[in-house]
Amino acid sequence: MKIEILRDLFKKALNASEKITRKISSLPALQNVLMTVEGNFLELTTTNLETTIRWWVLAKVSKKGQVAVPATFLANVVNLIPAEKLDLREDGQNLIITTPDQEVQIQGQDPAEFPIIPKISKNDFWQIETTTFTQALGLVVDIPAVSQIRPEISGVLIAVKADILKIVATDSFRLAEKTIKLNKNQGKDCSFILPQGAARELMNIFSQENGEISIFYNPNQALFELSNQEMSYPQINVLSRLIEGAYPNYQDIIPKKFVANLTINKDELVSQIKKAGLFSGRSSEVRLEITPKDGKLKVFSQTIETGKNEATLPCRAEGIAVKISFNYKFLLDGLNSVKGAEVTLELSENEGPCILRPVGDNSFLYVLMPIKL
Amino acid sequence: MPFSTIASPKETLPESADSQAAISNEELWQAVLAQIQFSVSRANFATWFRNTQIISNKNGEVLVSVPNSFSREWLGNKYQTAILKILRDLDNNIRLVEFTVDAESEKTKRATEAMSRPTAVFASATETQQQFPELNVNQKTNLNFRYTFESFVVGEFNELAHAASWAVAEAPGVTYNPLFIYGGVGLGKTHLLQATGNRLAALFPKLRVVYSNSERLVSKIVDSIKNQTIGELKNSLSKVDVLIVDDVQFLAGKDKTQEEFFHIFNTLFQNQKQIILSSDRPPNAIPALEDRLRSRFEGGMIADISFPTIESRIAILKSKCEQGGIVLADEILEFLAANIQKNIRDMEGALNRVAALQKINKAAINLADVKKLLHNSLVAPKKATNFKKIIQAVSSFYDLNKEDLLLVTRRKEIVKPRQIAMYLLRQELQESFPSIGRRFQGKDHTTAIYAFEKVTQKIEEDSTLATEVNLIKQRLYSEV
Repeated sequence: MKIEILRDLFKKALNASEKITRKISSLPALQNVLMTVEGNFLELTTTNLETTIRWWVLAKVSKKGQVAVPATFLANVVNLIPAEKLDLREDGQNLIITTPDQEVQIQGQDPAEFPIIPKISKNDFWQIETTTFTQALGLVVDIPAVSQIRPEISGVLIAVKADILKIVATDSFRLAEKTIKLNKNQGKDCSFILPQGAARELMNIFSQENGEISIFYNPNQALFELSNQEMSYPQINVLSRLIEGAYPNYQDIIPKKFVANLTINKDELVSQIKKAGLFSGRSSEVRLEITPKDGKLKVFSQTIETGKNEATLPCRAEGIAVKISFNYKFLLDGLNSVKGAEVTLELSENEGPCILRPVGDNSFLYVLMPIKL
Repeated sequence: MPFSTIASPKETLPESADSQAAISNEELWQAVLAQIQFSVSRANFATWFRNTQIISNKNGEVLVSVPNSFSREWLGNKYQTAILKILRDLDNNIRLVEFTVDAESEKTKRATEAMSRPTAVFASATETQQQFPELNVNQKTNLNFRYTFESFVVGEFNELAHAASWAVAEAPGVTYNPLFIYGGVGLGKTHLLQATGNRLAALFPKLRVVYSNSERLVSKIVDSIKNQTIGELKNSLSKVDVLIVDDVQFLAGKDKTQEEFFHIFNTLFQNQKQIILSSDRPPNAIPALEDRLRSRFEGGMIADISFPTIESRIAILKSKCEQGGIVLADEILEFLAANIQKNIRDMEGALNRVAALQKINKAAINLADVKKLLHNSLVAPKKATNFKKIIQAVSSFYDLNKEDLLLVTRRKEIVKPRQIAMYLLRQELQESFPSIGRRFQGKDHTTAIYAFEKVTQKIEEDSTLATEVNLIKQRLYSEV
């Protein structure tokens, strides 16, 4: 191969692709980026067998070809070459990068050892705007917990029904659901569980891009494809394995009946919860006491080691007086996902699940189980 | 034989498909692997050939299952020819080899893993951070696997219900059908029902067991009426082998649901499918329940769960302590058991609070601490009732409007609840008879005296009425 390429485009693609590579002694090819020159593009491929990233960079091609070199190493090198344009060529299995005043040679490996990326039929798909998608993923992506017992909840549920997309995650203590209205009715309903790692990569990669992602899927895999803005050629492909199994019937978790609810300034509550969290010790427990008739919320925490903390906040509340305890970290996670100045907290009876929502926005909710008193 | 219609053996093991083959698929694949290992690097062999197997060998076409899409691409692109060549050497009828990603074998693996879940989940039960209980629910049956017979404490208060449930779990559709279990709030009805369901599912894996509480059933029926899919719902429900419906008293007054449920009930019953129901009162005490449904409910076995004796309550607490690894002095357990008599769930709640206190203190706590901790919850309920609550409880129990109870009328369906309300006002609040009379549109105090005495006397004679009054009292104090 022999090409000329803009260094910044190459660097960006490389830095994003490099993140998923792994050093595994049984399959050393996985630490490589496979560089393939075809047509007018340089294609970078990396995979860890769960997530696969393919990235096409427009290049001036003199000769086709293929090399596989360690991805992280290459990225480190390219980050330190301050040139506008790079010349790339292969020499045997090695990659040679030249600029007018520099030359580096990187030891490569046999490209044929690189895993063959599975294809996916492009029959079933739907589309979504990148920013909407990555922001929605960002609200839930940190929630799943790796679980051997229940692998199905260790990923993010992505479900499309007619023109409604729901993105859901839970770790059995809390659950977040984001609802998005898609631009057009997608015809076929679809639902799959995306591994948490893949969801993170999607966020990292697509949050810097604009345009529409097309999402293709089959029972084993899903492909997220962003087309080139300038021409109809894919620019970025992220292929992910899907988690098998059925996602729990999460609608049953969302409570429908409440004994009390309160509306409160978010920032004030966040800072009080943070402060209470400092006093909560290992149990992470902070107690909330809601007295609707006085319009007050008391935040309380105490441990023998640290001392105790108490604060009273004004709020608008309805229903009965309730005392309830939460893990403050979970509560903060929920509050931080809620956009807007005010939040509503709805409480169900008998220490049942509670719901946190932004005021005036029905598209997001965060269900949280309290700590038993 | 009640099961002849149910169990059609569905096991189509891949091997059985081609029993006439000279060597088994397993041996065939072993032979392939044995040869191919020489032409593949060790690392590649371990990566791409792991968990592969032949799942069918028919008409010269061999289908190999691989664990993921990457393996399929790799084997299909790089080793197809080599594998086919080796296969042909072993059996020259073979002319094609294909690879497929096999999700099935993964699923069976998961299913067996799922069976071993209870222990894993139970370990976290002592943690105070609660989990979503719905996640412990089997999606097919709706049963929560944490409810088992093993964790159910049997005492004389529930031994009949337990024995009947056990019998049903051993031989569904045969002994007691329908089985109707009733008893107060928090005494273990749901536990018993779910344990029966879980045991049935374990003993007879082929039976379709479905558990639902009536609220969910009602909302399902309402939804399906709205979406005009009632036929589908009925169809899917009439295919189950064991239907368990919890808290059927909530069907009261929902006529359309009752009608649909009646049809489902009949279909199942005629096909000798097991039906298990629970309620907080016997069928004849459920108001606004159609007679035909009531008589169906009464047609099988009715077993009650009454209040546990103090010995049973202590036994329950001890078993809870064991499960949760809680260590408490006997006198504390006795105190809890002696003071919370009417609701096992409340008693367990109190136990959890005591355990939490002990955990925070990191030292054994004594009886005085416990008394202080539970002071509010033990004393409060007695004082917490009032006129409004009594009227509310009585009217909701008999499915009346609150206003109806205060009407000046001699309609039979109102007179009895009104007398019970007067009785409760006297008994629970020690109100004077004249003031009770005044509350009911200025009735004379003698009316109140008459009502009180009549109810007192009738409770002695009529056990149904006694149960009803007890249940109303329970609702009165169990509501937060």
